[in-house]
Amino acid sequence: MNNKTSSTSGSCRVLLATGPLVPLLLLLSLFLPTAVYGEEAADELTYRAGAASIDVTPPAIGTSLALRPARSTGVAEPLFARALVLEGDSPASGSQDNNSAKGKKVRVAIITNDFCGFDLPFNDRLLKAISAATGIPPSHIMINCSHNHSAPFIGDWAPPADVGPQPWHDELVEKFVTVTKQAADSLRPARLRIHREPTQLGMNRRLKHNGDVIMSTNPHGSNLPWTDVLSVEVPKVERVAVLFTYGAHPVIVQRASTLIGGDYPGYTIKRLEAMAKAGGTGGVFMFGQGASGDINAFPLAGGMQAADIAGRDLSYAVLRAIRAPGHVLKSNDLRVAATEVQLPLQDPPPVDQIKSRIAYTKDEKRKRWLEGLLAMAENPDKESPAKSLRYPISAFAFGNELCIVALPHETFSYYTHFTETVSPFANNLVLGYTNGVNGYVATKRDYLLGAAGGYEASPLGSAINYTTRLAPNPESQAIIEQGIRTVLDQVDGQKK
Amino acid sequence: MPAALLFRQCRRQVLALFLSLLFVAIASSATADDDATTDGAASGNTTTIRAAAAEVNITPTEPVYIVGPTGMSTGVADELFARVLVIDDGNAPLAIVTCDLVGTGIPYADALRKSIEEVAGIPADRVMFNCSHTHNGPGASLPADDSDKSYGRDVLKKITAITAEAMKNLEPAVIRVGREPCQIGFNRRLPTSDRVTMTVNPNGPVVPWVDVLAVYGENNKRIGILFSYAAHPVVIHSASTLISGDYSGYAATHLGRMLQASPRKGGVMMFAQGCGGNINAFPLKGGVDAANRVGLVLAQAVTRVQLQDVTPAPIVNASVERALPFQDPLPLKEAEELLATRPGDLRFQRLHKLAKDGPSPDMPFPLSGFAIGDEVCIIALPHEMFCDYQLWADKHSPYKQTFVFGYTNGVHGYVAAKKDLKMGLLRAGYGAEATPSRMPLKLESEAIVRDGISELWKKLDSAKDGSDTNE
Repeated sequence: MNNKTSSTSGSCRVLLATGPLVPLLLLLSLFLPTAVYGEEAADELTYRAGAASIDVTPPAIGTSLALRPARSTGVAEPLFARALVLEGDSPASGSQDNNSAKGKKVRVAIITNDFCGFDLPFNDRLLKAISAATGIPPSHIMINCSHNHSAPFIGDWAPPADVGPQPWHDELVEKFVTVTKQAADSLRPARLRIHREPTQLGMNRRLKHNGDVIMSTNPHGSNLPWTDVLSVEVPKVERVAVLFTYGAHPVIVQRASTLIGGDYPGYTIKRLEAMAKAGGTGGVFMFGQGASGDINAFPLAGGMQAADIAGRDLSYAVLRAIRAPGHVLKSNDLRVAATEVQLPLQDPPPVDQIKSRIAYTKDEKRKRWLEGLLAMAENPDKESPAKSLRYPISAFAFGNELCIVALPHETFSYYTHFTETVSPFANNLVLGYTNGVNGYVATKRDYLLGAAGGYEASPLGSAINYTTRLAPNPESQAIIEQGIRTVLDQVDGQKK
Repeated sequence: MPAALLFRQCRRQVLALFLSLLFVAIASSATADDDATTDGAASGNTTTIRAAAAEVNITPTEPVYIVGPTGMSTGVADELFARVLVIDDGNAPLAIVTCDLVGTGIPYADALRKSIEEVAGIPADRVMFNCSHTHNGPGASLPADDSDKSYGRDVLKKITAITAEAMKNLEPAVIRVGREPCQIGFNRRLPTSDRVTMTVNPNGPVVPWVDVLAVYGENNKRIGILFSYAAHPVVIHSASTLISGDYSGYAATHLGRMLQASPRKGGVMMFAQGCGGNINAFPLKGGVDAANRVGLVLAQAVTRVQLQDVTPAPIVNASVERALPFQDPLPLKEAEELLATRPGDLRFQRLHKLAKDGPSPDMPFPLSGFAIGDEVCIIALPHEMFCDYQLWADKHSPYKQTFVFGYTNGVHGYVAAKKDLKMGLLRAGYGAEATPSRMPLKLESEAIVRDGISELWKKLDSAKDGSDTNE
């Protein structure tokens, strides 16, 4: 992403030009702040924005924690959902979106939260409920899960399999509706400013060793060593929200504790909020998880204190980004595009291969999964799950200056790099874990490794719950790439 | 002969050759926890290597100053150790000593090496003394008087004693080396608009691997595993006032535990700090649990390494002495004017003080090296070397595998790279700017260090031919 540095602010130019009048003008500015400042700021307030947050902490005791057999024993930090609603103008031409007729206002919502993930049906339920309450079309809503492993996953496929719908799931839907509605009801003029700041707190976790991919730090693997920070603000008046991203599994706590918490994203926000409070500024701080299926924050299972400290480092990076000039969006256009591609899934691996794996698998849970896979392989017609995986992609474009691209599932970081390579936008902010999470989506190269593809990509990988789907086919990469190109084309104002 | 048939026949030959090479490669490699033959003399080489290793607990029994929390220790999270690996090629023994100390001055290192020479019979210039630089471990120094009540003296005696003990236990051995990708830290120098600040710089240099030298005795007995990684042990730092070896201490503990289950039980696990002057293990101040986990990641990397036999050969050593010049202090008037602009700025205060104090003497820079034939070289550098030097040495070394230690034979502060020093007095940031006692190093320091390392290689090369090795 290439950030263009904004020019010297108009107010500064006024002050520099007036020379001896500076003290007088400074005094006047105390009484008439908007007379000196407001006019210039008004030019930059090209969008309308509102933001809100809500506590969505599930029951403290006995809640299933992400993809682990352990149940929660308390709450270290509360979980939150946060919503940012943005409104811009439908472009003069070019939008492929039927809801964006010329001259009409276009409204989008980005909702982030501290949950591990929502499967596609639950996410659809959220989209439907939010849309019904706010009038924002489902295609204009991005629901991003931080993929925090100290929180529940909501979905049919996620282990432990004995966790079904819970009463608090209904409350969660209501809370998501409430927080989005609050944001939508508080729209006011604001400017958008984007900046990318280098930082790193995670590493690629797929290391090739003895012909297999194992889970360990791979210093040469793909990574996303930055945070993208979108500041939504009325300069010198108020901060509406700060949406920042980073791409790494929040697993610094993981099995080190059975307490519910937000892992490093939660701690980052806690620190940012404290700094904002100390500085007398407010705003809703929102974390968007990147496409980080192959990246772990470090160190895995390092504990609460380590998560807090990793959060500290990320909060410093976000603070640096906020303080940087960044690129102020000049446009007021807002375009939306969404598509859903279907990823073909692999056939079950050969029966002998599965049996051999079962023979030396000691972990009982993994053994049960493999036995399920074996049943599929032995009775393909009877036991086979879905033949394809839904893969919804959406994009919000702000003029020709910024595009927010949302990818679902535990998509590998490669697809962020791909998006940046093919995108016509100067600034791109790519989210993963958005609008549905159903396991890993790796690259063609990873799937071609077959059984040696490791936890995330092997058809025998323990990451795949065989009751709902098998590993995607290697051709999936080309399908995803085409899907990304499609949404980028649709929101590319310069093409029309 | 039809081309297709020729191709098929050639393909068989190529395949056979490939399989043969593969078999040879597999037969001569092993991971750190594999079973393997150990008879170095069986290779037909006339040099017989003998080796032994030992360790001793050096945990202070009374509160000591530790730099992480910048205060006195209040207890012990995990024990500190000093470890020694002695290798004898039949001509003269050598010793590599590692310890969980933050560092010592050159005089202390010299005294230790002299003590080892006198008591254990290993020439002082064939002793390397590496500190892990744990920020939750003490330093060591010798008291001005002959008092026995000194932690530094106690450590010196203990290390000397285990080295002498190791000398008595030498046994025929084989040496294997390997390198494994690993990363547990990040470059810690991030350039910002006004200066370099200490935080993660994903685009800064790091040394993303662990070097391993493993020594095995007869009957598959593991004597010791020396592994080296470059990153400040600061995962605990100020998060605790307890004494700890930080990630490097935990790595050695995890490694011992993991390898205990393998066929070759036992052995001494030794960590040597590389050139980690500008690299922090992550996360800084993450706490004791995090240090434990980071240590586990490093230990796992060591167990993965594919070790290759080192052909037994005379082990030569060489030493080079250099001195690194500091920049001249600012003219006093200039320093005063600077301080007047920002009287509260610590950097300006330092520059003013140094201008009043006058120039500092050069920084002593002793280098030493060991080489086994043309295959393995260990370079020992003092001080807190920036990793750029390790990367440079690795790239330019004439040896198949080169270990580069920092924090060895004395630690007197940072040695930054030229690119860092070039940023200037006020922008270069911690590690490359003035300290309370000295100006930053001159830019030519980098060339002096590189020249010293090159000279070391020349001397090692000469030593193989029987020439004198010392300046």
